[in-house]
Amino acid sequence: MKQQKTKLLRLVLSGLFSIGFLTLITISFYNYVLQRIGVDHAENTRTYAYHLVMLVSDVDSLFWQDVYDSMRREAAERDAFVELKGREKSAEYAMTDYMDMAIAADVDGILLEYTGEEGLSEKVNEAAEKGIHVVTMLNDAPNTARQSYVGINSYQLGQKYGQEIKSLLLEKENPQKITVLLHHNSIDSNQSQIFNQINNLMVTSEETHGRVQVEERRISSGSAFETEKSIWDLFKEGGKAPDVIVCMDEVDTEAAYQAVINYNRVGKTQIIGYYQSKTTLEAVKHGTLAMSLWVDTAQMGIFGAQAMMECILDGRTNSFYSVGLQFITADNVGEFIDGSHKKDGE
Amino acid sequence: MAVIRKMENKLEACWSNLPVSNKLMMEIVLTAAALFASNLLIYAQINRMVGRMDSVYVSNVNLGELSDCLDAVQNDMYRYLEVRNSDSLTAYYRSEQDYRELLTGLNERTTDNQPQLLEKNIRNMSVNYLEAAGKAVQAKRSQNVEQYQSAYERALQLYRFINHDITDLNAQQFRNNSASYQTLQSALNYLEIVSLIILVIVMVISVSVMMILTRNVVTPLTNLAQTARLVGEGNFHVKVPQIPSKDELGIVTTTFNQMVDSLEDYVKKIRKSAEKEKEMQARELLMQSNLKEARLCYLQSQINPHFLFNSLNAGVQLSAMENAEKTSVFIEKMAEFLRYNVKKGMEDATVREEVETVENYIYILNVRFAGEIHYHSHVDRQMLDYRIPSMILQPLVENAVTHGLRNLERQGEICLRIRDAEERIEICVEDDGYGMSREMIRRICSGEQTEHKEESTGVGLKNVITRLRLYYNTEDVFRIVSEGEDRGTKVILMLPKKEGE
Repeated sequence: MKQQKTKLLRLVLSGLFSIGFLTLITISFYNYVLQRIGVDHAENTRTYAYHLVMLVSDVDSLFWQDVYDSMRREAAERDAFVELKGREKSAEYAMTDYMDMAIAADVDGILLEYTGEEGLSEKVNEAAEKGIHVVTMLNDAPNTARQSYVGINSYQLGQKYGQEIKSLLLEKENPQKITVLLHHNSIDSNQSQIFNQINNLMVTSEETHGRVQVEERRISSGSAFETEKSIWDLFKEGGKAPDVIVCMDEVDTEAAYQAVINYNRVGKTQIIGYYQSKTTLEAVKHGTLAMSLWVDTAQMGIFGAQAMMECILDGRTNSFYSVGLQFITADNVGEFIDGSHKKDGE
Repeated sequence: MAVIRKMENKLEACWSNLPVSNKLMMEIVLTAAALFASNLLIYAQINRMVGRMDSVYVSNVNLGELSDCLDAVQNDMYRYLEVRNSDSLTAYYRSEQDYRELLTGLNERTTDNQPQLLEKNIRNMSVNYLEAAGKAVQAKRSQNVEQYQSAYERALQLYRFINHDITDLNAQQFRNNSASYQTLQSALNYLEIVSLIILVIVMVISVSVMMILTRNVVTPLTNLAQTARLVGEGNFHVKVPQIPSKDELGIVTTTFNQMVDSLEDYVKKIRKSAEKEKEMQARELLMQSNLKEARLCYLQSQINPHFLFNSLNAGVQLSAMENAEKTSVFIEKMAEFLRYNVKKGMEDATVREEVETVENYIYILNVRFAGEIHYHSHVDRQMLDYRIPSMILQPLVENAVTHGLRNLERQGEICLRIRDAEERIEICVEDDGYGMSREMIRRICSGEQTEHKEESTGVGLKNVITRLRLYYNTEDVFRIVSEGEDRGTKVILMLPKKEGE
């Protein structure tokens, strides 16, 4: 009788337990599903006090993605959210249109990669008129109503480029041809200044004076596949193919690298690349790419958010934030491949 | 812990005292309730899931509505700018109002959720758009051509931006919603399986619990039926296992066991009385055969008693006529003695009759043997009317004369004593003759001594002893005492008192 009672109790208890267990699993599973589909997701969404927009020429580039990640983290700590906008592959809008959108959306601040596009300066001024703070990045627009600039000191960078080019040219025979690929349209853009610095250095330096020719090649950002076409033209043209190509863009770097391989110019044409795509790092490692310019994107993001929030909260800020830069060469490429350079940079 | 145990005991007692019908009822109700509850739970969960599935694409529908309304505003504005009539103006204001209402449903906070951020942008751009559109309409009304054109262009640009963002948001939401829908669908499949498992578990447990509880009810009944069959076959030593519950089953089991117990008692009693009856019948038969034997002995010696009595009466009268008084008395005593023997063959007699018979016998003997025997008696007169078996005393006296005094050289004496011994009558026949050895006494008492003298009246000592023992159904009625050779013999009867009729 007692045994039978224990059996009964055990049976009922195990049944209750398994039903409870299943119910619990189902409920937690259901909650998990709700969370995943985002129907009850509102509580997981953080609300911010400020809405910032980061406008860049190429949202898909690794460089800007890295800047954006860093900036978003920094801005979140300052109770602001950064929205990334800009030209995509299927771009139908110009930078000015994105500026219009941002202005119309009444955002609190715009972090702009100033491309020197026509009418962009006016849009910067229009935004400032409507009380929207604008901070330029990487490329400055000093003649506009922008509040601050976060980027590279182009004079300094031009000097650095010059030094690196000289080291590449030393063993070379005369005459030498250096081609600098430029994107931004305006004459007073950073890229132009960098070009000028390189040119100045080559002309004024005794070692290179007279035997080194520096030329610029402007790649218009209007049409598709323009980059590749321009670079191929460098090799196809009847004249001498460049001995050194300086790229100011990730896409240019990869296109130039590919062209050098295709035209069998490896070892003859040196490329100074831009930033740290996987292909670039591999090429530097194998010596097919001479070096690549690395900009501290994390620092750029932090400075960007910092400059913008100071503008919004205090009404004023430094007019220039200088971002760290470094050349990736065969000596230090390992640090960039395994990511250990970030610890030094941050 | 103690409280739980106490409660458990209380609950158990409650349950065991419930009538069987209530128990079964409760089992069915509980099972049904368990199934109902689990179904309800499953139904609620599935219902919730289906409801959520229904609302998955609601955001797309809402966004479509917003887009349509924006188109209406744009078209109405354009038509007014084109034709400038009051109908189109009214239509514009109406659609503008509708659009403003729809805008209130959009998010206005800055969040890190992309769709919500798009909603915020759409909302803010729409406010600017409506402002530009309002300006254009206002300029048209005041015929300011330049202003309304630039305002219209501004509005058109914003209209494109808004549409771009709406399309973007729509695509994002559709992507999210499709993923949600798929997730929900797979969740629903999972839910179906879990529900099935829960249902099966509940069912299995319900059925098991019901089986166990029902077995508690049915097992005692089965035991009862088996035991009843055994009892029916006459086996009273079986018992139905006792069950602790106090319901109908408990009562039936207890009562059945009691019934078997009392049945057994009755059967024992009946068997005992049957045995007793059988024994009594056997004794009766034995007694009758002994009496028959005694009577036969007399009848053998009495050829025609009536003829003999009449003849003896004639002798009495003859001797009276001849004045032979002694002869007359002798013959008369002789006749009485014989008549008594014949008459009392099978009946009881009183002590008085027995004593008289002994006196007649002594008289006859003394006539025969010229007064050799000295007889005297001490009889308690109150004992005379008790009834005892007939033909008892005379054989004893005869035995005393035959074995104790016959051929004694001196004069023998026989003494008869009858006295009250509380519940019994003590009758003592004593002689002062030869006496008996212990061996002789033992043999007589155990019935081994069967000598039969020719001169005897026919009823032997053995017959007397047997009859007395059968009559009183006890061994303790007869004893012989002798202190040795030539020191006489005492035969003592201790007869239970039996009142005369």
